[in-house]
Amino acid sequence: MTDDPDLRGVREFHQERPGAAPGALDRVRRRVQTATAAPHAPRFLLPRWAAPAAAAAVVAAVVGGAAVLGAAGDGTPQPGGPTAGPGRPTSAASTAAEGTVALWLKYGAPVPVPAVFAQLDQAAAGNTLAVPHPGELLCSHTTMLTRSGPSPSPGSAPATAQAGVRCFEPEGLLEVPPPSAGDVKGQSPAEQLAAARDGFAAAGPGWGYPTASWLATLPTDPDLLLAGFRAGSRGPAEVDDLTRWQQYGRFLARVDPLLPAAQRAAFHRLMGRLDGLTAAEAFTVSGKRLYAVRLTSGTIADELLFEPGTGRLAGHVELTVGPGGGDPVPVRQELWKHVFQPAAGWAVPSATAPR
Amino acid sequence: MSMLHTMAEPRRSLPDVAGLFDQHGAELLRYCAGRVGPTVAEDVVADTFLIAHRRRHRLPDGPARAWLYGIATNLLRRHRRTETRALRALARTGRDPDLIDIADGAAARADASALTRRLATVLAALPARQRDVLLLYAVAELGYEEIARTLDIPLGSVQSALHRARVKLRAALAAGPAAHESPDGGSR
Repeated sequence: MTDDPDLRGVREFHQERPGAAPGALDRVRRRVQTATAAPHAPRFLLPRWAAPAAAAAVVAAVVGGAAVLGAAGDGTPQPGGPTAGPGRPTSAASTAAEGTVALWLKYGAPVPVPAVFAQLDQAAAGNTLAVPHPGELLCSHTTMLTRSGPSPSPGSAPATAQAGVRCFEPEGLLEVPPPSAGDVKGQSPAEQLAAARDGFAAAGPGWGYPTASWLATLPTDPDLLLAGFRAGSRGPAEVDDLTRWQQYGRFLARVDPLLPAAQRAAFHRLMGRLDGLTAAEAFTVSGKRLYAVRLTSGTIADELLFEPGTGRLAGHVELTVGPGGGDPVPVRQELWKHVFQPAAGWAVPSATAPR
Repeated sequence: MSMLHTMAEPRRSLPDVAGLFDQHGAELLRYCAGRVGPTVAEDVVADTFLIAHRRRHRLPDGPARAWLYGIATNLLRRHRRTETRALRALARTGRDPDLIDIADGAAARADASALTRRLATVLAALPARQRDVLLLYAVAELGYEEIARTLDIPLGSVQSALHRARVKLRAALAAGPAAHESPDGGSR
């Protein structure tokens, strides 16, 4: 292979483009193995819905959210979770597999999906969204459990628990690099944030850079909202229901703390149109009750967790059916909590610099 | 492989898709992510190996790597607009586009250098075939004949496409920092 400067430049350019998402290789391997091991080999391409991929990667990577597992609000200790007081940043940490069995959600009675969304809408309408004060960041605390694959019963396979925090500027949801962040592609954390701000300034509020005021302008008519959502999404306008479900989940997870009740209800109506939905109560290790709304498609199930009391999104579960069939088994579970906290607490000078 | 071995195995056994994935999955995923972003790349690579599984009896003689790149390249064509849009955005703003896909947004934080923006401008403006050939040659490091087989086009077309792409590439690189300001051309 020639090493002429132009070709070398292309190679280096390619290397600097976004790489594969964390865990992507394992997810793709699982999809391939599942599809090729099926008793009846698929006649069609593995559809996009077979990708818990995006949901897992994106929801985990981006949104963050909080350790509702033994949620901070419950006062229950969390494995590897925030150890400082509310609003204090914590660094990511992981725990050993031991002791993670009890952290998987316990499922309760099934609930009609329309009833769940109706209750969530009502709860959201009765709750006022917190408004960030100037200089505050939106920080998402996540507790995540993962195991390598389906198993006969939850917890019987090796699992790991992790917790972490990511912080964003409320305007545009620009990620503020964590205190321990180093250079990325030669850019300091301050430069990374400055670049993100430049991008926001150039593009303005929108699907890529949501702001509270922009979210409040989204249509509350589901059809109009869907049209806007399609226009703001990349990829084909028509997608299968699992893919759409995952897209909704990713977006809601990102904007949850800023989304007004009316627009949230419109999203719930859109979600309720999808096929394959079921819902049930789910309980954290501390006994906190959630609604788990699950979309099942083939051997893949994707579940969003909602807080009945506030209507807010609280987490995400990825499930898969093992080779022997049976009920889907969770292979990845995330619980989130969002808090506004002073930017100074995040300890990155750029986060407190004037915009 | 010895002659004796070859004669004792007149028909090659069908490739095992799991083995192929272990050998080439990560590389293909990286290649596709660099072209269409991490989320779409997962779909493309999964589809690539499923197609490979279905067509494994048609695996041509020679390494499977180029064959897999060929399948992936065909699948990537479905996402041509996505790829071009991202390249144009990168060329224009120095950042990957502001997509709803949060993973992409996070991955695209870093501002690009002037050189990166010029390269993005050139790649966005290349016709589809020239872009495919250039990236298969420069990034996947396939040879002319492999690319020709992979894309099912004549060898001369590969050479011609690569030559034209490289001419544009060199011109842009030589043009200096202002090159990224030029209007984006068509890509199809």
